[in-house]
Amino acid sequence: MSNLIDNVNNGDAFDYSVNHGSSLNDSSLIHGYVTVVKNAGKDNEETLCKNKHNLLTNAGRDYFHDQCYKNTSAGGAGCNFIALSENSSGANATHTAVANEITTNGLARAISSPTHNTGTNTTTLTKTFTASGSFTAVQLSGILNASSGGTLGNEATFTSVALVTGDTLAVTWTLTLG
Amino acid sequence: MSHHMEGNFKCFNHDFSTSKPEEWQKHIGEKEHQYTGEAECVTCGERVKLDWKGKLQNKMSPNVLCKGCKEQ
Repeated sequence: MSNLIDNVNNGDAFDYSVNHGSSLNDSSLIHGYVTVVKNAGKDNEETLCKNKHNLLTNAGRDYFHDQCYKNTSAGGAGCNFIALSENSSGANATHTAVANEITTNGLARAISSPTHNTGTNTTTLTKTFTASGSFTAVQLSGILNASSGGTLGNEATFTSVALVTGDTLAVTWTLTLG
Repeated sequence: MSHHMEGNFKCFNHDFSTSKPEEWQKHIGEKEHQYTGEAECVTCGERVKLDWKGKLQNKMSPNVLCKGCKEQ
């Protein structure tokens, strides 16, 4: 068991400004909220989106059904890898990959820190990326079940942001099921 | 599931439900919950398993120190 630091403020306090129902009906049991913060904890901290409702892809829905109900043998990995992109075409339920996914300079797809809150219906995925090069318009994120390729489970856009070497981008996905 | 557990966020430990993220954040800040999973050590980045119970103020998951960093 690891040791923990409690009460370290990481600036992730919720501020409800969710755009409900972009692709999920109101009775859906799966919801996701995305928060993206540039340079969290620094003087130039910038919140790019806060608890924005994400989009469950068609492929992701099928994958989750396979994992929970259909598979008759051991299941696959969870969708806990976070990818980023500068693509401006938006999120779409038909997507099976993050368009123009960033693969270099510190923003390549990376495994997150997945944490389930036992006895609740929430799991949180967090990852802080550190740019080692320049980016002009990072604005799209997705979660997938592998370090490369794999199934795109959820996708979300956020306010486009430019990054230079040393800038950080803290991405938090909060997912509910049930 | 209780009929009143209609919010997107549900806590079956405390019979609490809400669709407002700020109310959920308040709940996990006021009540202890068990958190399990994996995380990176905030100091060295080493990936470690976590199993921790506590209250979370202004964050959704606990920050972790690996054993090596804590002993330094």
